[in-house]
Amino acid sequence: MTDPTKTKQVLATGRRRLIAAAGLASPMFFIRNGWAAGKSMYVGTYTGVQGEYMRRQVIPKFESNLACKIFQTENVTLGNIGIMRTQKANPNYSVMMMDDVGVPIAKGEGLIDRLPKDKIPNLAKVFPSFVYNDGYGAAFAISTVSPWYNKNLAKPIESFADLWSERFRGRFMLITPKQTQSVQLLAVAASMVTGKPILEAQYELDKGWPKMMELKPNVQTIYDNFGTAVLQVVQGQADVGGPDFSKNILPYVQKGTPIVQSRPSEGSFAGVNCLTLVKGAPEPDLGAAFIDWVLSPTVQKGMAEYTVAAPSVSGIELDAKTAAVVAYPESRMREMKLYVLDWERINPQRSAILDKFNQVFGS
Amino acid sequence: MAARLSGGGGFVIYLAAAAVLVFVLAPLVVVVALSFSTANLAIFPPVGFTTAWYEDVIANEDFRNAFMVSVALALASTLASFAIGVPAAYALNRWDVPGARVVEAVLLSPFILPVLIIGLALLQFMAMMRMRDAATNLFIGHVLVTLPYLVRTVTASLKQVDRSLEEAALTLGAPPWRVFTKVTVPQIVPGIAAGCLFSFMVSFDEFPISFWLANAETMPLPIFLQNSMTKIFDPSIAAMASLMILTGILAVIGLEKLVGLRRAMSI
Repeated sequence: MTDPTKTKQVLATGRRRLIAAAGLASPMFFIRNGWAAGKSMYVGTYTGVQGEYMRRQVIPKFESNLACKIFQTENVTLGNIGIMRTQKANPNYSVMMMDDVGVPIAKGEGLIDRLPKDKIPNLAKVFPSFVYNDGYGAAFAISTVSPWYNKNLAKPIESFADLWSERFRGRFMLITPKQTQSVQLLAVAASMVTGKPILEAQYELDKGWPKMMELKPNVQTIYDNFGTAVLQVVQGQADVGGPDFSKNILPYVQKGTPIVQSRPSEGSFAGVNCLTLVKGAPEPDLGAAFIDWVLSPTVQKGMAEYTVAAPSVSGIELDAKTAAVVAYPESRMREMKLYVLDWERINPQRSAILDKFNQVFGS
Repeated sequence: MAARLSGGGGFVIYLAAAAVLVFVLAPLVVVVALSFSTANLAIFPPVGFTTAWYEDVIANEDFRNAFMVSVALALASTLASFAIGVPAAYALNRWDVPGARVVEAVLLSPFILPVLIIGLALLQFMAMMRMRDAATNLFIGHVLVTLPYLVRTVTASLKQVDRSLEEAALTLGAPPWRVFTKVTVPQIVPGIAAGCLFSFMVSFDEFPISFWLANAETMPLPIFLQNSMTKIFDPSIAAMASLMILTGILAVIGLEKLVGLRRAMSI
């Protein structure tokens, strides 16, 4: 039979050792997260629902976890690239968000650094096709881009070709050529003319212009601000608009408006939002930690369900409502035929494309 | 009592004035009307009547912060413009300052340069100087664009000052500072008041400079409004805009009580 006194002594000794070990270990807990204490950095995010989620959820938790301060500004891709260009010699920002189209531009101009894999463990979970330009940019949210319409005024849009139909004469609100969706539409036009799949036709964009000119009678106006375009379509001043991002469209769908995002038979485009690390960043390690946080399962799930855009990392369990509408996981992206254009080849032509758009639709 | 216009010519002038008034006020009336709509989106014509959007907006802490940032920035830049603009206008008009025309042109240059480009240039300059505090940067940017209003209106007032009164005061033994405070200032108060009103409203509504220099902690109301519009365009946007209009109206009423609107606008 065991001596209870000896058992008590053993237990007491064990508890003391455990407490001592915990005492030794506790500074390590604080030290692990203490390296960033008191630091601050600037982060450039997107506007809209996603920017709001960053401000209300992502940033406060990061600040609290690392006892640091994040200064957030909200802008669009070209605005964020513009800021990096003006501050190239002395960047204020450590992390900048931009569309996939912007990553080769920023890399080419020496504005961003390669993402350090050793400091961003969650980078390994990002779908390989959504890590850009040798690891200079990584997607953190993927929207679908396609036309949208008022279901009370128009029959469903089954194909991009429907945009050219007689029923939309003077009833189509076209996205501004300043945004990448306009180039995606040009790729569709090139595909229609050449008969080639979109991903092949993207290398012959010039062939799409005669088709774009045929679209002109349907174009009522060209919009810059999605909110004002939606109001006009909801009020019956136009029937269809776009193409545009699901993260912009779906909040209005959820608000009970008669707006529907189409699922063209040809497929849709991927609107990819990316994270980049600014070259010469004042706080590169803190920036890497922030990028890792945004790519974490916690943020990826929360942001996907709040903004109705697909996560970019594997292994996320989305709620049924979100899972039904977003292109996730990768197999569903293939089912939905989501296209990502070759921006590295297209970007050098961008200026000329913009000029041609202005000529075709401005005259 | 002001004379009334009569005859056919008078009728045409009153009609033209009314048309301009309608043209200017109609969009504001539409915005205010939309702010009371019960619809989910800011669609026209508005539907029903509710003050719920105002309740939502005023209860929104982010809106209140942005509003206070704009008010504080507008007051600070107006005071700074007053402190710099009044002495600058006086010196340029009364003293023999070398290169006075050049100095005046530089002070008034924000009138002609595109404000968006001024903001971008400031962003670049502040990055070079490692100036990272958004509040300070915004203050500097706003003073840059509000200062010309004070200089311009005070200059116009100074040109209308009756110099013989100043000379009489000097002749009667008043020191220059007393002449300035007792004789000159009362005559240029309308210019100062108008300049301060313009400065306050320009700063309060300022967007292009704030666009480049603001951050989430120091976000003026126009930037907050624009960010809100990118999320969802519902009548709360119209409610925020209506509160901005109300602020402008209160500023004008304040001017009327202090100086008198007619007197201020007679510069």
